Amino acid sequence: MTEDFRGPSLLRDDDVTTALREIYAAPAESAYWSGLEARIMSRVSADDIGEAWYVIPEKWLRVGLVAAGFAVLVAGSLLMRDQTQYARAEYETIIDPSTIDAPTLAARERMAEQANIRALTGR
Amino acid sequence: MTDRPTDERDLVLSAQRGEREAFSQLVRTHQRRAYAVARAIVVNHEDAEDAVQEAFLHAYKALDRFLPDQAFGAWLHRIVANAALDITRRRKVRDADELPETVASPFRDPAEGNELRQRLKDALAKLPERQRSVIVLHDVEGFKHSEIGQLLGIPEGTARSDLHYARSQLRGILGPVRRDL
Repeated sequence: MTEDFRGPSLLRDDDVTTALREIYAAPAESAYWSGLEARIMSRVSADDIGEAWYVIPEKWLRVGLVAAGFAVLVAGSLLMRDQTQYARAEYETIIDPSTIDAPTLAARERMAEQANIRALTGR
Repeated sequence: MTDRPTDERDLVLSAQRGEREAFSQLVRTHQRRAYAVARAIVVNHEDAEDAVQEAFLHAYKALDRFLPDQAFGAWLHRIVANAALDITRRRKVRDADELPETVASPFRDPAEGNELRQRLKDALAKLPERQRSVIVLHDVEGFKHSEIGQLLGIPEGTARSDLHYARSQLRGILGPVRRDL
């Protein structure tokens, strides 16, 4: 199809145009149009309400982001402190057996005994 | 376009400030023409109504980006045309997936009962969609080639040639029918 038609155009056919106008005629009743207007405005209102539920004002969004950033920093530092304390406790447990609680010590001794028995019996 | 009434600019400004009644009045003023644009593009009354509703909702959401010194109608018509073209595309996909069925329309078509009109409807159904839209927008709604080009996103020359071929096709299809009538 040509993109830039320069040929002689066919004139409008009045019979066809009249019939086309009837086929494509918009509803004439004013009740139809007031109904359509009401449906459009109802959708507009619904959209406003819908947006109000999830649209956060920009100022609040900034405050929220700063608070979330601060919370991440606090949580990170707490986690690091816990890990340091845990590592230190582990280290102290290894170099100083007196810090090991009694049940753990007993379990370790039992495991060592069993290992010796297995070594002697060859099982 | 600067021939629009100044009170429309005031309405647009009020609507942009969030006054619902102002937007309602814009709907009241433009909905018939918006329907005509949509109806020229889609295949039935229901789709045209859907396109009009979608378009007004979209216009409402985009209202803050509209410059009040421009013509609201021309801006709205482009939105309507886009909504109608979108519905047409979705309908094509849907129709390809489903068996064709006849949907009862609550709106009584004024063309019913007239032989020429019925034949014309059949002939229109055989036209490529864009040619059908162009002939309706031009011959029925009175849009200029350039306006049709903007609405449908095609060059003005293409709108012109589409109109020529649509008229030619309809004449070819209706010629024998009209001799019979």
